[in-house]
Amino acid sequence: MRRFIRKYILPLLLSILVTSCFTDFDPGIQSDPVLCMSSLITEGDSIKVSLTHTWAWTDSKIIEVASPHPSSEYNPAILVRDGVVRLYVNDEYEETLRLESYVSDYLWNADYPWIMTGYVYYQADYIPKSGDRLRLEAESAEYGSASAEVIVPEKVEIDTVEYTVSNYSESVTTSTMTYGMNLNISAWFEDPSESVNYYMFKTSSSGYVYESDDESIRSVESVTFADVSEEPLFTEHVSALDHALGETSGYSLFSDRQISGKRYPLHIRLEDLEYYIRNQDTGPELGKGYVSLDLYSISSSYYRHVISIWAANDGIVGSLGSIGLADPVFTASNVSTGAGVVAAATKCSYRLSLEEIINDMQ
Amino acid sequence: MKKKLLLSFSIAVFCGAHAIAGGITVRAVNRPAEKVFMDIMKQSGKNYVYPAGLLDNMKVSVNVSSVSLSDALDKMFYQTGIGYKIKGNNVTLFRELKKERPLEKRSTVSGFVKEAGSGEALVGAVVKAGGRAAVSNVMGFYSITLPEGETCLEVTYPGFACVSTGIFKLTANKTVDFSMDPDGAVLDELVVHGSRNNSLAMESASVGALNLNKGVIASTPVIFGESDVIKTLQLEPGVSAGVEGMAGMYVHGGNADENLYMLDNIPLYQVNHVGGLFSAFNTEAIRNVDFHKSTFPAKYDGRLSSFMDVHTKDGSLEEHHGSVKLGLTSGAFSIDGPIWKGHTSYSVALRRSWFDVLTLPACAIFNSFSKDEKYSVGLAFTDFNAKVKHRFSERSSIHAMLYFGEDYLYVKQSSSSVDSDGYYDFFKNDLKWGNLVVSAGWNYVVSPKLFGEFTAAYTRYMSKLKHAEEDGEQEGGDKKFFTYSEVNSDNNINDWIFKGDFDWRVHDCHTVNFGASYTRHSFLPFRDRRVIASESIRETMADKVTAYHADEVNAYVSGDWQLSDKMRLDYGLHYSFFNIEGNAHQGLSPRMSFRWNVADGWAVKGGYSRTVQYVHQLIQSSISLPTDQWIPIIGSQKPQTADKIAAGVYYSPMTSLTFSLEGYWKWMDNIMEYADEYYLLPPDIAWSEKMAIGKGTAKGLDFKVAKEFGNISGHIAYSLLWADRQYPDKNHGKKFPARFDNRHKINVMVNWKINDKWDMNVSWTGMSGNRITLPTQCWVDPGLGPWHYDMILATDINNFRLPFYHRMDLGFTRRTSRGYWNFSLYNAYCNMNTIGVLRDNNLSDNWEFYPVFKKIRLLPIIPSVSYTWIF
Repeated sequence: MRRFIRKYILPLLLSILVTSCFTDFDPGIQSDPVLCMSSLITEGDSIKVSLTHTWAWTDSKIIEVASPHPSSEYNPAILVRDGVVRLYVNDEYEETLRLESYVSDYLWNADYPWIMTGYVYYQADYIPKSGDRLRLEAESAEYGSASAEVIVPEKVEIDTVEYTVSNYSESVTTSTMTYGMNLNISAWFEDPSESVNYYMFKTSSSGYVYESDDESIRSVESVTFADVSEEPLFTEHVSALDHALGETSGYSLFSDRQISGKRYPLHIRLEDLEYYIRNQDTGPELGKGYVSLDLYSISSSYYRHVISIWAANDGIVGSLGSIGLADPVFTASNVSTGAGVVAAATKCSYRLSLEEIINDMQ
Repeated sequence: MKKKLLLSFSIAVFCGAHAIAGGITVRAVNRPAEKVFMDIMKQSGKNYVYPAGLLDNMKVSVNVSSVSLSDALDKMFYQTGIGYKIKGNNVTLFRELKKERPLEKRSTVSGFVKEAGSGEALVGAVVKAGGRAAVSNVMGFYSITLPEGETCLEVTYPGFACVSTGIFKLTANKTVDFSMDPDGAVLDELVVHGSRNNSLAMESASVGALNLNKGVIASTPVIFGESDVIKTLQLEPGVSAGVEGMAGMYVHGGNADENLYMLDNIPLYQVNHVGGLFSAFNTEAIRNVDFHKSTFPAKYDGRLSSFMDVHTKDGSLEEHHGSVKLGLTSGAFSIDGPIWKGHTSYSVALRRSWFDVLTLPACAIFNSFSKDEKYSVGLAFTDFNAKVKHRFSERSSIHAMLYFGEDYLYVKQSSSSVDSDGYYDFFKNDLKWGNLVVSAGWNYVVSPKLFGEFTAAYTRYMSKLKHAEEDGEQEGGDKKFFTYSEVNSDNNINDWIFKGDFDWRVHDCHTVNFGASYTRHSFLPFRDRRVIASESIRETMADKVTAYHADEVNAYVSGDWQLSDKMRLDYGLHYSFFNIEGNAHQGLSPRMSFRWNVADGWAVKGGYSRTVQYVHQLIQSSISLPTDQWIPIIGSQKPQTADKIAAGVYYSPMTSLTFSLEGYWKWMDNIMEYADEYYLLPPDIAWSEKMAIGKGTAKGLDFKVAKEFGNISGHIAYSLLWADRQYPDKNHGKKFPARFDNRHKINVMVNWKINDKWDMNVSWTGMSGNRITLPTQCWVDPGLGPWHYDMILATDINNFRLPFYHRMDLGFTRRTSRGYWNFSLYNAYCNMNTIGVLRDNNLSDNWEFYPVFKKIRLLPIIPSVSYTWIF
């Protein structure tokens, strides 16, 4: 009997217990694609509009193109080339956008079309400015029409930056000098009181990179990843329950709900900054290096879109919704079809000179 | 005419072999008169004649031993209006002519029916005398008015030995209390083979009423072996369970917040623990439970879909009893007994989960390996029930009750020390939510026909969530914080309740209940308070939510009228007045239901109920979250209402077996849910801006066959349901199916008493899957987010039904001299049911990702064991 149990019953029970918790299936729900229109409109830059169509989640053919490294600029399988896109500025017709396309020859393999680089978009001649109310209307014979409206936000400046330096270090080799440090930054700005404002904060830097191959120093501009976890405004969309059970990091958007009409310092920490300069020619190169603190005034459509991404992927309700234990969090869109985002942003940068910092430390 | 009369006689001739020398012995309780008469005739050996239909629909109780035939018939036909004549070897029955008699002098017998030993009130006991009957109420009180003279009262209660006063002379109003012995049921063959639920189905006019006692709840096999009244109710037709494993209850297509859960008639708001895994009702503290799902007594209002009143144990007046239960997920302790023998009793029950017994050592192990960060995680729930009852006299008693239930979750993380850069950080999450109920009541027999209960209660619902986080630097011993943030979310309800309920026996065939209550509500809908601080600035932001105060007045009158042998009518009217911040709302909820005995063993019922709901819960998911806030209607919002018609056909060939088929149609108005994209609004935005108000309908059929006693008992149930919702601010205004629109649901429940030591319980559930919203279309990422995600196009709500769900649970109970073991297997044949659908990417053989939908199948077979030590 024991042998029978060992030989047959136990394997059977174990096989039941370790049965996969996930099983692929086809829900068999029919759905039709709709027009998707996206654009990030920035003050002073010409308007470019991406026109694509939605696709069924399980449509592998399209996903191969769109999913692993999706680019709104070039996804041949979902591009809408026959569209007509019209721009209205402050409710007045301005122009019909023209189709611009470019595909590079950087095509390795026809089986992997997403490796192609290039762009296909609709471009306007109009240069937007802060305060413009812009409306985009698009039509496609196959996918219908779509429209969206956005207001280009006013610029808000970072007027003062305070910083403290820690872990400062200097090292000298025969050819380079390396400066390393951590920066604790307070970036002050004043929120205009007369409107509801949304912001996004980013950092970038310009400096030099040491190439170990040829021991050369190369000038680069790059995004600098700042530790934004200390700034409470960046988690203002996070509830107490989400703090306990969800994921809160990685977002640096906020609204003026808590600071409306007030001056406020954003707290950012830049860790392990390293700058390389040529040993024998310190002055000029050092002067060119800087950390850029970029405060974007963004449209509500931008803010809502990104918050919905957070809610869908990192919030508790979105996480439950993604497995059917709550209504799913849909990606927020201000386009009439529900697909795409027409967003606007106005950037204001504050450059923190590397030379000043290093001089202060010496 | 004579021919017709003769023809109409049924003539039976029975040639008895012999008359029993020792006389006639009959023990019958509420049995058909025809069968009892046959039994007597069989013993007497005589022939008999009686008009056709004379004994139809008549039930009698006789308890005689070795008496003469005439004594037996006297006893049997006492006050039934049937006479007899014994002539030679023939017995003739006839209907006695009604004589013009002077007005009978009548007196009332009243008192309480209790369980012997414990003194617990027996609810629904039937007191009979001379063809009249009365039923004991929630406090065990009964009242019956009889003609003065010789009479005999008999009390029957399912599972208990019948109790009789013997014949006595009634000359004035009299108090008679009954103590019924459950152990007597084992020894005495005169056991009432009937059930409360059979009586509710066949005798009452209610549609969809159910009574559960502790034994039924404890014997239902459930996950982790944690017996649970709500999980027992999930096996009833018309009750959807929601997500697998959870103690959810969705009655007749309603929402989770449309059920009024009461503890000794005091409303509870938070009714579950651990995200809904367990209900807040500790089985050890429960005496019995009344549940109404179709037509509702006028006493109850304030929710749309169902009413559940949990009656807790009073405690024994005679001796101390207790139990200690150790289970896999929790432990429970209960004790009850006399404080002053015969006068004052107490009952205490405590239950606490073990989860933190697991999390604390897990954290300790983790922390011992982690150099930088130290974690502390705790999760637990607690229930505490206490009750004291004092009896001043036969007419007067008081009681006090306390319930405290709480869940807590904390997650704390801190740097073990300042890092090499001199920075430190910590965060702390502290979440608590639960209920407190304190009540005191006075029961008073105003007169033999009027019973009153006066209650004062305080109930508090509380959800308190706190997150605090600090970053800073430390130089030497001085800590200097860089930023500090704090999020506090509070949702409270404080209710002061004063109520009086009366039970008036107007007539033997007519009982009137009436009462009124006043509730002072203080609501604090979720208030978010945030603090952000740094060296140079400190901002505190509290959202604009303020506390609301509301006055609620309820008054009701209802009647239970036995119009004739065949027809019974329940009628009632509930009036409610809800005044919140100067906005007054009123509701009139008429109730009406009838029962018509179309034939012996057959009943037809129908009814209409209107319900009004002023307080509702905004629910974010299918599991219970502490952020599911309770809120009142405010401003221009209108109260939620439901109009429901229900009808049913019932057949009971014997008291042990009941067939029922009930249908209903429900229309709901002003129901509330979160609106589309509410999650995009900041957490501190007023809840009223996140809501959608709409309507819904539900219709369906509930079928059930129940066998409620014997060595094998149980039921088979099937329900058919259509439920939908429509909100202008959801789903583009289009109608959509409700989430738990489980079209077909089958439940089989079998309890097998194998022998004196072993019981086996089997339940099987099969149902159409829950509905979920499955996004089907995606759009390309515009690249605005921090990294790339799938962009999901909004689709129709609840557009996909999960696959058919089925599961079998097994439970075994092994009684020992000191208690009992309970062994259970949840999902015994390990059918891992689909609880949701995940959108995911698979990796192909060519190392390419391809998108798929995946069923999430969650719960495998889960064995559990518990031991209950009884002392």
